[in-house]
Amino acid sequence: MSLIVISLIMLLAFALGMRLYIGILIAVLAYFLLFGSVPLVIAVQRVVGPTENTSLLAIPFFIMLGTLMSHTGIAERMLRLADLLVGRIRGGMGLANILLSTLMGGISASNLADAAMLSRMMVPEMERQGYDRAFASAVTAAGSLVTPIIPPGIALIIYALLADVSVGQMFMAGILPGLICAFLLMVATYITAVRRGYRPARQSWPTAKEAGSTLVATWPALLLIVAIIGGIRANVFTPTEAGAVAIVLVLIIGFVIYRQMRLADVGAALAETAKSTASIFLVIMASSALAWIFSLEQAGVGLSQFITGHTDSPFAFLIVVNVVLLIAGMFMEGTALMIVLVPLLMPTVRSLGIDPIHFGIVIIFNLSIGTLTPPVGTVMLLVCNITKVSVAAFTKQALLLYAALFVTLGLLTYIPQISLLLTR
Amino acid sequence: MKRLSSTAVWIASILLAVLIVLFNAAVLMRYVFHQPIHFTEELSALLLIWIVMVGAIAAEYENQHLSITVLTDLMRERPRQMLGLVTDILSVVVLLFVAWLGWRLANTVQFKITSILRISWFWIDLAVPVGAAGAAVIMAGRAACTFKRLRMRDAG
Repeated sequence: MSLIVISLIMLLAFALGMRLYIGILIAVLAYFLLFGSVPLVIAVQRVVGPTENTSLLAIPFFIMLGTLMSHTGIAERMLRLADLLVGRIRGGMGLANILLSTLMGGISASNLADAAMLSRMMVPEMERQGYDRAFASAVTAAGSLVTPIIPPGIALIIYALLADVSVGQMFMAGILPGLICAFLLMVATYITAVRRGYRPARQSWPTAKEAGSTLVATWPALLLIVAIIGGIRANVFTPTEAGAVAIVLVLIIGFVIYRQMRLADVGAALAETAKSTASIFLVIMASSALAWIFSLEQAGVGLSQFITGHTDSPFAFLIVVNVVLLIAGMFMEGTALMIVLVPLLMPTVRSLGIDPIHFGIVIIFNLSIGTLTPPVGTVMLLVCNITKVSVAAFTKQALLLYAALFVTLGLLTYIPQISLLLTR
Repeated sequence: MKRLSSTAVWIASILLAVLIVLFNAAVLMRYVFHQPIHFTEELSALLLIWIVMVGAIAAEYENQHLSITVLTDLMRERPRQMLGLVTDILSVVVLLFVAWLGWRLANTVQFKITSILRISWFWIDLAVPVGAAGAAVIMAGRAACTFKRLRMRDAG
């Protein structure tokens, strides 16, 4: 009863356009004031709690990394590599776009930052090569969905904390799903390119000399990806330390190797990161206080008993979760949704014998699809805003790409091995 | 307001830089000098809460906090501004309440000391009242602007 009341209060605050973190805080405070038997100061203590967790520190580090990257000139060089690999194929520029997202996803943690950078960089170029602008925007936005599940990803870090699994394992689990998603998006782009007669980006396959010079230009960036993922996998450092070390590596690449970075860029990146960190963390902190209330009321256990009373099939459960989250993700911000729902669903996940890592990949991918669908798809709105394309045109052009994303979601849901293979 | 926000950005940026240096030093000390730094975890918790709370002031000033505006975007300009005024005032009240609770929390835990650096928890939890009050000031300033604009339109 109390949970329904505070949830309604929170949804009302959201509907009125209040800041998400304040809406959640109102719900938390309302619980303590109306129903709680615990002193109010505990509410604040619960809100502060998550900042004591070192693995969440990886979030500001990887945000900083993504922000710095747009000043290093890494993206332009990575594009040459992507073009080299797939440019000869029909729709080469679209394919290269997705491949670039995948490569950048291996360094960056935020799909919003990636989508912003790539839509400025790729959409004008694709339009020049004869692509429809709305389609180019859709490809760019869809490509950036690979970022949250390919390590490092902010959602992977938050989920690891919620489900009590290691960040390193979540990172490993995301690699294959990210590659499969990228591949299917490229298939969808290729089909569209053939239908519409979009030409390849280049006339011939690259010569050995060309391949060599591109590798020379891109090795520092490729090394960075290997250092981040390899270093975590080999337990050389924790994901948080990997983020901090990677920042220094990017600074070296930017200042010493590519020589494109200026000191002012670093200052701007620090300021930008501090603000983004604040806005993400306030949602994380407020939501975890709310999640604590849900667990205090034993909501998860109750839900688990209710669900297992109706079905004992993990797949039936996953279908329901997928459908509910796809709908909820259309209207709600993904991080907050995940922080409240994961602790709530965890008892059911465990009692149905679903691997929490597999479950995490499914819901993270599911919620990231929500960033691409109207009405509140954050990535979609951002890209449309940058490329000046209407949401209607975007959605129409994105249909085949949506299909690719849904197929990926289906594969990830029903083949747990895709997520679990590399974690072993 | 602008000065408050830019001071906040400066402080948060410097703390963030310290945090990055700290973690690199930790890796370096562990592998190169085989002398791990023990206080990394404690110091990082202290830095992080301050980065978040002080950064929140600047994020508020630049309107960077997440909110869902699908429904309010459907409204006409004037009712939307009036609703914005009401929700801003409500948010200020909530933030000031949180600031007061945070201040009380900081005072309650002032004799609790972290295990390695022996810092009082007061300095960790103090970030909450500072950040919440700062964000409240920024929001109140914006609400005052909206109010003035609404009244001017009535007069003109």
